[in-house]
Amino acid sequence: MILLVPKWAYNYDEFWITIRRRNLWFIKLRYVAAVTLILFLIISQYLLNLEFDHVQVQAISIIALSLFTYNITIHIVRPKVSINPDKFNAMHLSLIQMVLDLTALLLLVYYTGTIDSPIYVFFIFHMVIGSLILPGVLIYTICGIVIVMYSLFIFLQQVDIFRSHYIAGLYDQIPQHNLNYVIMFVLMFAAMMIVTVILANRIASNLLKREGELRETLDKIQEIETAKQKYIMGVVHEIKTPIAAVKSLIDLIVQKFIGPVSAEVEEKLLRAKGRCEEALDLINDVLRISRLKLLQSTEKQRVFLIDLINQAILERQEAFNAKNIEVEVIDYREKKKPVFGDKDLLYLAISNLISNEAKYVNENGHVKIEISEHKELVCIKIIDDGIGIPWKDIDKVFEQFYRASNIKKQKTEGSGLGLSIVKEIIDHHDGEIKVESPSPIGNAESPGTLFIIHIPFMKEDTEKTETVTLLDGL
Amino acid sequence: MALIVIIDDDPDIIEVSTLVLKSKGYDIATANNPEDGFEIVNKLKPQLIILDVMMDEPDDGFFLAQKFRRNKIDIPILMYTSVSKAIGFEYGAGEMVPVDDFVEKPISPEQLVEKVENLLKKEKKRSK
Repeated sequence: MILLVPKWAYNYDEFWITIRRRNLWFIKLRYVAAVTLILFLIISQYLLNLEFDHVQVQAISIIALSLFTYNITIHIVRPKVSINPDKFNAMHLSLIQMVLDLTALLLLVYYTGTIDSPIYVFFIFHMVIGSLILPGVLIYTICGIVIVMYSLFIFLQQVDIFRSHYIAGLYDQIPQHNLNYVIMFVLMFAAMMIVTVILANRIASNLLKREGELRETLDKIQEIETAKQKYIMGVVHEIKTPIAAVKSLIDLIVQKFIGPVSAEVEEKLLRAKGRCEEALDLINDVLRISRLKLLQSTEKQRVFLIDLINQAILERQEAFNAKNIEVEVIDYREKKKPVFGDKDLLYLAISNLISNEAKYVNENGHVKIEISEHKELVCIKIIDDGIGIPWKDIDKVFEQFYRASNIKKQKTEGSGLGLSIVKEIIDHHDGEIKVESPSPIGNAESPGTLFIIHIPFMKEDTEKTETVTLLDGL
Repeated sequence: MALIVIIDDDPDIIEVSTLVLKSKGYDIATANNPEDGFEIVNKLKPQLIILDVMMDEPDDGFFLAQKFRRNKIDIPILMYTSVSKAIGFEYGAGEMVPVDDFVEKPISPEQLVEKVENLLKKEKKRSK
């Protein structure tokens, strides 16, 4: 198998997406070419008074038909062609298309007059496209072959071995060329072809070089970001270890593994334990964010959001019961379509929001969760009559480490990282999250908060997921 | 009563675990680095190993677990970790790491006892 693929492109999805997209584009263009050819045959006879003889009509029709036939074949084969550099791949398909097209064009040029054919300029067009998609050596070879073949046809026509099929109606009299004209024509044609390939090829390789540099820079940025996040995780981890040990020791005492403890000491220890938990929550939040940033790609699967919501509520049930908060889930949807996303991340987002409800809704409060569908989106509303968010803070709640002014006074535990994680996850799923306060069920005393989340039902068969599959055997 | 070996480089965690498990009547031996841990397990042949994920290196607990398995030590391993599913890390027990269960730090005494009891029960059934 000829290796057409540059080494750097082996694992570079963008390269393959481009090649496959170009193949599809050529296929569409070829349908247009086939139809145009037939139209040219029919219309030009009436509009331009061109006359085609019997052989020309037959030949051009057959060429158009073959164009159509092999195009359909390529169209069907295209989605099945691999992107594995070591096997028959999308690049080879491009080469085959190029060879077939040039053959068809050469025949078409022959049946429309060879040296007198106005269609020969399409060779130039093919050289430009070839330079953009094929490796340099290959397109120079193809260019050479085309020059030789066309010159050969012209020569054979000149010495009357090939019949001249010039289009009657384009000329007032039968065109006659002396040898000088023919030599000049062939030289000019060859020069034009070669210059075109050199220019187009240089532009293409410059583009590739730029793209390579850009890619390298992006990789470097990604590397730095990864290193940074790993460093943060490492440091945070070091902080977590002693705090975790302290909490474990306190637990040991509070649960009387060592012996009886006086009520007063126990109360202080429980408070110390509470503060440890607060610190651990903060640490876990930082670790969560670092992990999110470390994730370059996530595993996507069908996710039923209602299940995640119910699970998250169940997990906080104790906290809700303790404050006698009424939690109600209403599903307005007819079809319960899943979204396509990372289940763990989505759960993290929903669980963070529900955990906020348990923290910031007062005793005997209400939480209402509504799920509905709007066209391509699933919409989740989380409505409460809790402490709400002051108007001046509402734009900042999704920022890292931001805690609204009213909750700082309340001394409720929290790091101010929760909502920024939620937003990051929703963004990651091409969704949107908005917050409003007061909420529809709030009152003067506790205005309440309304979170609105929109997540699109992602289509699984988009161009991206179709083409970006792991390369076999790599 | 079953013998449990605890391998962790944090003396406080060793102390907490030892006190909790001793109060339930288990015999405990401890080591504070992977090398001593491997030696003690080989010598004492315990019924359960409790192993910290991170000691000198961020993953030497994993390597030690693999070393036990390579040396045909098939008794259950309970791994202490400070990262967990809660922050999005999921170690499938037995899949990537040859351990039987995880306990997330900070260690909750009840959870520790429960997991230890479960693993020992399973081990008893298996060895019958």
